[in-house]
Amino acid sequence: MAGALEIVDEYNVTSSVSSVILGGGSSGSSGLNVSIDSTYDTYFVTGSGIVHSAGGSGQACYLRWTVSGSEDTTSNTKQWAQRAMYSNTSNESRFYTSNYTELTLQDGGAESPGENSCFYLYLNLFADSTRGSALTVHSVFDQYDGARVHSRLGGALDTTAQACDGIKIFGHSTTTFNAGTFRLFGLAN
Amino acid sequence: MGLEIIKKVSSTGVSSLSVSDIFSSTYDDYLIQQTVYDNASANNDGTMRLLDSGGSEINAAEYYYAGEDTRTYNSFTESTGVAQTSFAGFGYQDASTTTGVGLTMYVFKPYDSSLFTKCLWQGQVGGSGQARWYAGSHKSAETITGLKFDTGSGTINIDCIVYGIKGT
Repeated sequence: MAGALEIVDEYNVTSSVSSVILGGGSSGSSGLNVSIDSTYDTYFVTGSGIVHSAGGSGQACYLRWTVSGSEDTTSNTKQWAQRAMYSNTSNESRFYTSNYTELTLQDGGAESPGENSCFYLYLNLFADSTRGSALTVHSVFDQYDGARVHSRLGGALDTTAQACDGIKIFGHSTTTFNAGTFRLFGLAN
Repeated sequence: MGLEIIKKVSSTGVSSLSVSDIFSSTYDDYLIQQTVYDNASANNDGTMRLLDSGGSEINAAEYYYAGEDTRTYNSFTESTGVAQTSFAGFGYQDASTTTGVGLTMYVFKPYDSSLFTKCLWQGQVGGSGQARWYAGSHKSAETITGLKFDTGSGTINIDCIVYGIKGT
């Protein structure tokens, strides 16, 4: 065993893309054709230096679970709750239990030089077809158009008992990722 | 590949701890673990600053952070900072206690001179007991090579382990 934290997949954005898939087999962005599977119970994900093509409060970053390489857009099966924390005003509770098919990692994006977004996730039991797929998130991103840094801290669950083989991270429909490093690690059992 | 240890430092009876030359082009992101922050000479509430490319402490008003303190003894509180001279929300200890702490921090792309360095940290700290959850951004695009913890008041025993998160 090489170590307790083992790299599984990685994608470095070198030209503009609308989304990044980690794992997901042949649908994965890296071309490594790897999937989240039963090799590990828990996976660790990092996203860093993410720069959007445009900024503003509407330039969010989202996550969807992938099943057999395709994003799962089934509604009423996803739950998430977070603390939204701001450097310049009171924190808020954000939660959605129905209709949403994606998890919000952040709700603003980079727009000026230097500004970027980062996060880490822990993914649990994604490959177990008899259970739902849960994750926790902690993110940080610049919103200096609002003179602040913003963070999301919380968790999410796909309540469907199914095997999820990856995650898709994407931005607002009008934006792309111009930079960023995305990595998927397995935590050795 | 995965998690690789870069440096472990520890010190006793100090008011600050500099951890220099830990960030480089070898890694994009880092995990920092602190397990000792005790034997305080006075009540304190720690802060952290970044070190620039020459190893100098950055004390400009460029630190933005947002967090919450989830306290065992009272209502939870929020902690925020705009254009501060350091990040807050690190070690916290009452005088003469030996309860220790556990602090985990992720640092993202500090060595990239084109980006604002990001930090996410969580810890269980001392005093009467509280957990802390924070996020911060250093609003200056420059190369960061290390960091410095400061007690804010009095001395402490302190340690720090730095890991690089290695990709392919």
